[in-house]
Amino acid sequence: MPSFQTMEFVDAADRVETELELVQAFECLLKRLGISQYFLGEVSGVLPDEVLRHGNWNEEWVARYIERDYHYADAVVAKAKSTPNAFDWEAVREEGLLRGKAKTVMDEAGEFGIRSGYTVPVFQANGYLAVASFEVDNDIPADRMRAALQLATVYFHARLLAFRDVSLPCDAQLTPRQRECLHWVGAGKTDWEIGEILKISEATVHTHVEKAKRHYKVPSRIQAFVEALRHHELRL
Amino acid sequence: MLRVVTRQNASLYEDKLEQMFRLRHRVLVDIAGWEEIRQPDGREIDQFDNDLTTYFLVLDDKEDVVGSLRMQPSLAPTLTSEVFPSICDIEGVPRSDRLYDCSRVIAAPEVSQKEGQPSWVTSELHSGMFEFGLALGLEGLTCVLEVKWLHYMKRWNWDVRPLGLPDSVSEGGSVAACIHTTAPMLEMLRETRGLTSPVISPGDLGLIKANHELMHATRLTKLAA
Repeated sequence: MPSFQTMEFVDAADRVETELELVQAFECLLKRLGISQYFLGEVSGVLPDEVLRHGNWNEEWVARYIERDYHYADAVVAKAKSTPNAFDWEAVREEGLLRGKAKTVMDEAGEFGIRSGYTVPVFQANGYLAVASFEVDNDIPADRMRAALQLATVYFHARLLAFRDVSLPCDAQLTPRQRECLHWVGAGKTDWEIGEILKISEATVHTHVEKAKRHYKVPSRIQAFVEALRHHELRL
Repeated sequence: MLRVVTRQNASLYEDKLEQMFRLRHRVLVDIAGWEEIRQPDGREIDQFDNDLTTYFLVLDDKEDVVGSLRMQPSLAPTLTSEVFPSICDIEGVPRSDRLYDCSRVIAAPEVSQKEGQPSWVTSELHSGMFEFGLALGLEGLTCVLEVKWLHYMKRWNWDVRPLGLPDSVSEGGSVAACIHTTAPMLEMLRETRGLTSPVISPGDLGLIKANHELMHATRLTKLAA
């Protein structure tokens, strides 16, 4: 019955108020699905280290994996980059992706008891890619397992990022109007002038600019303009 | 600018609807590669384009259609109920006069921005969805979408609940979900997308309500029984 258990987790994920409660609910689901070991991590290198690493893989294995930059060689990561769908590690073996260093990584994982399981390419957008892997030993049909893990991981990942206050490169930074207003701020225009150009009121322009200042946590409008340039939200 | 089209005013929008069917074909078949719905005449139309359908059309400065979606009352046959019932495996396909099914949400590639960052066209459609739901006192909108959209919606803090497990066969995985259209959600959407006012005009809102009442007072009540 993976669907009901997964839905119970989805509902819990929306309700929980701390990361600890989220993790407990997630691990409770995994236990019911016959999963003891899992790991969620970002593999694209766009976030600072440690920001999004979570799971209970053997610590020694995680440390080795990170220290030796195994994600470059890991066939599971390579496959996750090429598909949005969850997959069975068996597929990686069958597709003949386990050659050279990729085989070393998989063999060494096996030494830590990580032999068969599934990987969910959690989320991929604008260079960001997170991957969740699950060591599985049960007889739930593979397609049901893949579907359950794919869905549960959406909610787990989203809430984990929220609790850790992580922003992603794909998050909208400024609204289109804020961007337009800052563009004219950069051209030295006053709120009144910008209002005339964009055919909106001076007060509305003021609000847009103030929000952009708050967004970048800077005291002046020109600094907001500079921050927008620095974050590639505007071009000169 | 967002325009609402129902069967009551469809005759005024014939050329715009025509543009919409072609845009749908371009976006869904030519770009997204849904070969199974390819049409020889380049117009993407199916059985859920009927006289119960409400369309949202987003027009650009030249009054060309650059985005659209369609809504179907959930008491009638919908894309979710007829084509994707297998992925509503929790409590079946929900049907009530307080739910609509939303499908074919598209924006012209020319206006699309970075992946996961909604363009102004998508933002108008999204705001329209919430305004529509609130105007009719709906519980929410059901829809079938790729799993990655669920990620984006959670990123935007939407109140969205899956109706079942995704199918793990199709590319990207299709999942059925219900988006709850509440006032705080609309407020948050406006705040984050920089929308200062409703995108649906008072006149179009009146049309939506009248059409909803008419549909539910007649055929749909019979369908439900």
